Amino acid sequence: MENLVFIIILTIVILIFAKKFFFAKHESSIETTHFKQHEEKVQEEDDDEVFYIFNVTPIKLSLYDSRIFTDFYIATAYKTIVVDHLWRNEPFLTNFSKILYFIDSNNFWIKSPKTKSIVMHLRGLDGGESNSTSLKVLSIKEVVGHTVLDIFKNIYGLIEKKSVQNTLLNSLLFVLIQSDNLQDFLGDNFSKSHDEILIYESLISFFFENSSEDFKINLLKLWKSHHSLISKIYLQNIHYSQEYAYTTSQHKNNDNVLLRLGNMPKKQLLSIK
Amino acid sequence: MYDEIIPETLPENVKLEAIVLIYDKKIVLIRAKELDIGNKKNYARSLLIMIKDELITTNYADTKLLLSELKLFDRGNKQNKFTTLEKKDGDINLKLTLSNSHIYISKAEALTICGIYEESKIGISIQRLMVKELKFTADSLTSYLHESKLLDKIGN
Repeated sequence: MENLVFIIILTIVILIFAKKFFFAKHESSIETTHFKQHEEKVQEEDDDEVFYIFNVTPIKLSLYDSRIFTDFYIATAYKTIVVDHLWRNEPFLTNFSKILYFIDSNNFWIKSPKTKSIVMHLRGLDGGESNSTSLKVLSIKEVVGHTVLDIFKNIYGLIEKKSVQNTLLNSLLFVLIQSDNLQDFLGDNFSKSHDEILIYESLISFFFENSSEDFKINLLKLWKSHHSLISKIYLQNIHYSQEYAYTTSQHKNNDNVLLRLGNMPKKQLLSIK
Repeated sequence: MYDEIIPETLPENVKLEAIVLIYDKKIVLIRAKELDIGNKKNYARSLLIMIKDELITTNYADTKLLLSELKLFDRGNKQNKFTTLEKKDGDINLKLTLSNSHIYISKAEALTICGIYEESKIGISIQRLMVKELKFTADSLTSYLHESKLLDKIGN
């Protein structure tokens, strides 16, 4: 009987210890969370009072303003390639903007693939005859804008940055060579030759007069390797471009093609958002 | 009709239509047709002749002259403007020189051209052809050709 009472007392004591042992941890954790919450509240009150001063003056970089290009498609291509990606490493930026500005300020056109050319024998009131040809043409500005952007999207991130830049320069020259009134600009020496490489070399010597020989050799190498890609994208683009009716007269109008590279605006400090 | 003032601006509802005269030699009569919305009548404003993508006449007087030369055929003389007489293997043909090439027109073809030309005036008023013929400049003719879709290449 005594033993039984002893066992009962022992179990009660053990239970009391066990309760203390198991639930002590839980109680302490509740206490700490309470303490932390209180601490955070104090911190939040402190944050409202502190003012941090940020540097909000915009960063300015020296670039060509995209508003020097009057054509929408050329300005868009320039913005996405140069301004958005901050490609302002020096031989590329000047060369790229120079060729774009040359195309933008002159009226070059490409004969549409879906046109007839009709010769007209017109007579004035005095009886004098004059011949002119009417045909549908594409604006080279639109074609250049689309082609350069498409090539950029195709090869950006796949090859080195410098090769991408040189391929873009090559694509500009490629579209310029396809123009049907480029010979007015080049002179009579090239009126008979339809050799693409000859015209290409003469354009390179015109645009990159002060560049190094390595640069020109690199361009020529890329011209050969990326020629099929450029021509494929060019052919896709000319099928969806806007067609305009155009008249070419018998007498050459050299006044239409003006070399306006001398008037090109200089670089400005522009803020980038 | 005579009291109408000739407008300086180009009429908008003029369309060029192509009527084929000879299929093999690509001889086409081009008729400038004006639809007058007021009295719902069609008026011919000009008649031109095109051979192989080349408009050899661009006013009514020249067209009439070419057709007269074809009508006279071998009775024409050296004063002919468009055609010259040529004898080859006993056949008599009219040689018509274009800017890059030339074509020969036989007697039957000349007869066909004149016949279809006369029939092309059926169902269309030619009053305004004399009173106010449409005078084309290079730019206006190009825009009319473009609007009438005659500059489109068909097939390849």
